[in-house]
Amino acid sequence: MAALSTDIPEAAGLGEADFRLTGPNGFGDGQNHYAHSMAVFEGRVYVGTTRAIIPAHKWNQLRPDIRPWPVDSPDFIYDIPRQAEIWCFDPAEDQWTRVYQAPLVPASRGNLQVPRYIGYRGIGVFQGASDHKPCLYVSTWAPQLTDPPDILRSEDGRHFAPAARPPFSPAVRSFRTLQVFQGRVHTTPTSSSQGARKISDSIGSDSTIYATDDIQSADWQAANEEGFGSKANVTVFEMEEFNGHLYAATVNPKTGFELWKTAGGDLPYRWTRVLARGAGRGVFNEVGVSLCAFRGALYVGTGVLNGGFHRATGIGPAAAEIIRVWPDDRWELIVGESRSTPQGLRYPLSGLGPGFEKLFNGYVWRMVVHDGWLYAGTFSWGQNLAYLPLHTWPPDAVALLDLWGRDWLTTHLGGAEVWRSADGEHWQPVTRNAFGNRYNWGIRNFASTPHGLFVATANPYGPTIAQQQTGGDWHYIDNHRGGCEIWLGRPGGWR
Amino acid sequence: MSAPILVFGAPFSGTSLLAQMLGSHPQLAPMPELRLGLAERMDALLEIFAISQAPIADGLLRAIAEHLTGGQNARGIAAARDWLQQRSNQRTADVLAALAAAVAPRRLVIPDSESALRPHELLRWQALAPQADLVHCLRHPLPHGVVWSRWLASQVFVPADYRDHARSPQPAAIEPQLPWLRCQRNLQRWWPAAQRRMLRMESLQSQPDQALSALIAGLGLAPVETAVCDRMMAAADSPFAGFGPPEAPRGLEMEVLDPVLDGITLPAPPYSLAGPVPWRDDGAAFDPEVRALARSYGYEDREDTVEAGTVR
Repeated sequence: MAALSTDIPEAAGLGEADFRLTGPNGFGDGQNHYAHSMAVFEGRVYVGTTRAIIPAHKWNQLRPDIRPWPVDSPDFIYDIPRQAEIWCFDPAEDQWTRVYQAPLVPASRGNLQVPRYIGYRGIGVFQGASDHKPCLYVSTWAPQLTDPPDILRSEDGRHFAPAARPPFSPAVRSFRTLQVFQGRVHTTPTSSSQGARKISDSIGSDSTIYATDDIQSADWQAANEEGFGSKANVTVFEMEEFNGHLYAATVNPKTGFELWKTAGGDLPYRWTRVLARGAGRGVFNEVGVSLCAFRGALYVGTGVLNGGFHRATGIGPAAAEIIRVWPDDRWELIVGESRSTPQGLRYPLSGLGPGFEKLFNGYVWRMVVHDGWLYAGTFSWGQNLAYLPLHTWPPDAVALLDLWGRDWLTTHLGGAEVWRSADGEHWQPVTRNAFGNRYNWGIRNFASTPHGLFVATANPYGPTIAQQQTGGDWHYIDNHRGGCEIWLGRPGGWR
Repeated sequence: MSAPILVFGAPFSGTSLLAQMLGSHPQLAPMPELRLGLAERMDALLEIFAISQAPIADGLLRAIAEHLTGGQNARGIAAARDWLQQRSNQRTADVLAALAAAVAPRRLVIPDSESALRPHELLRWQALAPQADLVHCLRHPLPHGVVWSRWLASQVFVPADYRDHARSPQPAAIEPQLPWLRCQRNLQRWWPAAQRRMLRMESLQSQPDQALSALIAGLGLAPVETAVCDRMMAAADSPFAGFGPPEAPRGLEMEVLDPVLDGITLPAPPYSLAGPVPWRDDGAAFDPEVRALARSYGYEDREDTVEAGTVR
């Protein structure tokens, strides 16, 4: 939904030097950790943030076993200002402006004032039956002490008001994709609560896609049988339109993700399965994370939840793959691990192993087509080595780390990566260390515009970072490269 | 720089062996595996050498020592390391040019059993040597799989590219069909057909004179007498046909240096493409694509139907 124009002549692919930083340091607030959603609306670029990700990981149960804790985080999560924000970039002014901040509302228990929303995981442009023009719609993330999340609607990109959410369970805390297909918008729950401080960021309460042709009317209907008939499909994670069909990728921690497609029509749709068992890899392809149509095929980026190691299920660590699906359901492995499958042998056509040859790349988080090139961005946990419990790792893995050097790995291979390809098979790196800032652990969003390619990051290492001092003690210091960043690239750069 | 002859193929397809044989032709100079396709710049290549778990620098060190720094001995290898370090700010193409100049007017014959796994390495070799002729070295997938799977099973470390990852999170099983198919497809896809010729190693084994003569003629080299041909088959004139000095002993594929065939009973020719493959315990047959590709290379179920010599 981010593409502004597809009528751009093919240009040279972008390199790291072609980018400039337009939105540093979480828009000046290191608690804006994720540029969690991005869309182009009426010539401007909009970014929705999610705040205080690492403090929330400390607050929620099944806390990761990392020490020292990378970011100074209070014991009580509501001590952090977490009112999620929406920012707008006007190309004419070359400037970002905050256009919305979630209000504080009374908590459902106690006397606290709590943020209505702590994040925005999806933004899209859609014109429903009662909209007199295309509007900006935003899917929200609500903290546990408030009502479940709803959808924000804006006609002008300046004023936002809530619209009704689909009939999710109250346990749902967030949803992300707002996918338009055949005049309807489709969404599905992504995170849910199983009780106080028990949040799953990427598993919803039910794996149903809801659709409506008019968000304001709240006439949401189910578009599929829950889990496509399988309880193992615990969440529908991502959707995309391709070749006149709606495609949906699941989270499946039992057998690996599945990819389904429908030709649409009346609700509920008839669906057919395109990929099963993680495209033959099993649970190391636990989730279909990103979908992108490019040169007549659908590219699927995979991953394992929680960034490559799903703590709740013990899946991983494993690095992500890219799979190419053709309209007739044939599929090929582009980046990943060779294997035998019911459809025959598959090997990576790019020659690149999972994670673009880097174990740390736990997701291929986003892909986009820009100026005739396919760009893919990853999530990486390599910069976290200093905080991980390496004493629990297998000795041979630690020996390999030490052969490379932990500092060398963190410095050179920490941070997310961006790669590009003109044909979908031959890939070249744009950046292998997140534009020189290893604290950018993920490439969360792309937006292709006539002004260039916007790249929005997830960077939870702000406003402080734990740094080891001479002598071994750890101190929290200000991190001026913490908080999400927005980069803008054009051929030839900006000098 | 005279265009080199590259002898590429899947691992355990005979690339090192053939390069030492072919390189013994009077107009040619055999090389070990140089691995220059791993990087465009020498500093990047030296970094890869430093962190690799395998002795992948040995071939380049031996070649430099043999032709530029005093010979394959401790002092020559040490000097070769210094020579490479001094060129850390140069391109890998500069090092290739230096080697080519050192053996001129002979042409380099360079084997490589890994580059075909990765298109970007093949493309890098094309940039290094745009006029190079490439000999696509082949082995029938049955003996290839039998020998190679046995050898891999004896190794402490087996690269992920040689395994079948279909059953994660269970350990991935060794499956030689995967790299066999991948390398053949990559060579066909990414190397211009006009600069590529195939050689079945079985032809070299069954009809050595004809196969070698046809390859020599196909590469535009002067024909050789029988005695020279015999010396070529024995790789008798290659300085790299065995182990190097202790400081850089390897640089060739394992079949040249290691007793990979000891204790292995190979299926008797003619090799079959039907029936279960011996290295799997699930009774699976050859993958249909492997079988079809092998047949397209002239590997029928009866090896004696194969014509000797090279095929384009």
